[in-house]
Amino acid sequence: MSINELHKELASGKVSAVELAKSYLETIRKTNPSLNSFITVCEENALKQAAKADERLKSKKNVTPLTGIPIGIKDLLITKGIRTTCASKILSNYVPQYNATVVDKLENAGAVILGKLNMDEFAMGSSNEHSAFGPVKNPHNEKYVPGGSSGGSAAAVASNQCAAALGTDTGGSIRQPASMCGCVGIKPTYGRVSRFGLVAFASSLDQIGPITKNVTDAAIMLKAISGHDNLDSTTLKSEVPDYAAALKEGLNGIKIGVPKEYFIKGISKEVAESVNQAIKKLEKNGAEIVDISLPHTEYAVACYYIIAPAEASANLARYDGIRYGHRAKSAGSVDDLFRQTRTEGFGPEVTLRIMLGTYVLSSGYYDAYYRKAQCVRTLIKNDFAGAFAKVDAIVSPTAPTPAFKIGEKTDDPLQMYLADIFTTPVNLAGLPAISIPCGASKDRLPIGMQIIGKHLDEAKILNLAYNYELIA
Amino acid sequence: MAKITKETVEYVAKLASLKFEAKELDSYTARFKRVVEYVAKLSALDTEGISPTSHAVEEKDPRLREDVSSKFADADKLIEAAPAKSGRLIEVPKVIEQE
Repeated sequence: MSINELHKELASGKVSAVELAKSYLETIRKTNPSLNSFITVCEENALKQAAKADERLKSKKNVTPLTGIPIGIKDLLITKGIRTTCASKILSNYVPQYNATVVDKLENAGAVILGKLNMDEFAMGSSNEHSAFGPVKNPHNEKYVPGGSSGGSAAAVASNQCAAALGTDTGGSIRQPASMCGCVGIKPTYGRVSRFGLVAFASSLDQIGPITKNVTDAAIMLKAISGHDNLDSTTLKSEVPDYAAALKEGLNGIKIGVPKEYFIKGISKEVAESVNQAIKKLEKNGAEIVDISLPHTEYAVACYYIIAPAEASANLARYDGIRYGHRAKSAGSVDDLFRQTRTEGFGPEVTLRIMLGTYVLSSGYYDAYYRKAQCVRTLIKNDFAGAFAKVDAIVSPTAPTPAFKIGEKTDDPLQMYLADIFTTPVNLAGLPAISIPCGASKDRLPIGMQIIGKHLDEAKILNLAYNYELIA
Repeated sequence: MAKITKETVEYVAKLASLKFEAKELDSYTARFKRVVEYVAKLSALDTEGISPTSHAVEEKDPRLREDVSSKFADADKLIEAAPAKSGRLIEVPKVIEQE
């Protein structure tokens, strides 16, 4: 059930928050051994929060659309007193002493936190196969990946283990798994949501956002977590609109750009067909479709795989086994201890990214790689600025293929990286984008459509997505 | 672009405080090389006169908060998280060599 439907049941007293939490926890108990979407389930804590939510609902004081709603949190967001692993061996025993701002915001709204969701280690991956806690399965077919890195979040929402979840998106990590699991996922504008308490991967790209069952739920969740935060100086001061209240029927006068570079050779035929059909439906219902060009798209993945690893290598330098987390049993010098701890603690993909980042930032290579990538980033950003002078939103596939089989792409890192070809440009430009379901493959695996907006235009892309939901 | 060899990988590993077993070095070098060669495709683009973007969304107002410290509620709990400690001190291997 959606947040909206659950809220009605809770507000009318048809079901209590404790009953609801118990029923979701029961679903997790039954399905998690095979799906593996939760790393940590916090039953006791969830039932306490649910009892508090029931008091609010009973007194009808302080009730928000999220009061009593069972939610899952990606294990990259720190939670006070609840183990936060980032799906890494190096933090497998780490218990934070404060909450991420977004977790505080959800708790203050009365949400019930069921547990921490599996992911690719430190959010580095596109299939959820790079987790120290084992891969997550796609609930639509357990032989397939759920996408990544927020694979646990998408799988949990798709399989009713929670009503909604928080994910994070550095190069597509909310939108791509949402697409592969048949959910809605929105990556907000860079700076819309506070990242205080988000374990940093690539600081100029990371954003937090919801994965939900429908667009209205995404609007409700996004409002709850957005806004300026003194603890994150990159948050924007702009006011947060009531996204859910602003959803209304009608597409007349909306101009939608379709970039030719997003329908290229190599993209699955089924994906192209589904998205093209969705575009036709939007046109039939009043939207104007405009052909556009984003000429630097083919350079986005290369640009991303310089900038993101560079920032990651700096951010992950802090894991040295001294103050928290895993420490190797080394008898040597302090340098030996650092090296042994990190070698034992990081999985192969994280190691590869740290190595890439260290290399591109190393003496003599900075200009050729990092500075070059930042200039290309400007070109990609300018592509979007040019397009948005002509259109209100841009529509594309979210991923070039539906979910792929577990093990299919793990041998070649490049094959995996190209799964993010349509999502990375959006992070490089700091834009908001949403993925919504728009069809299924012949193997009955979901296909997602991405809608990209201008900076801080979340309301517009949510509205477009909402209208598509109505006519789909 | 410089050639990627096993020596490059060993040098970068040292910078990153990581290490590789001799037997995994060949396969690792191949993976590393494949990605570095792919990202080098950016060199085909002319970026003369283009200024670099470090953050995609720049805000006009200064956003830094006042630089004032505040007390963390339970500092002892933070120290408790250390893997090896002696009272309120975190233990590390000796960093100063004895004569």
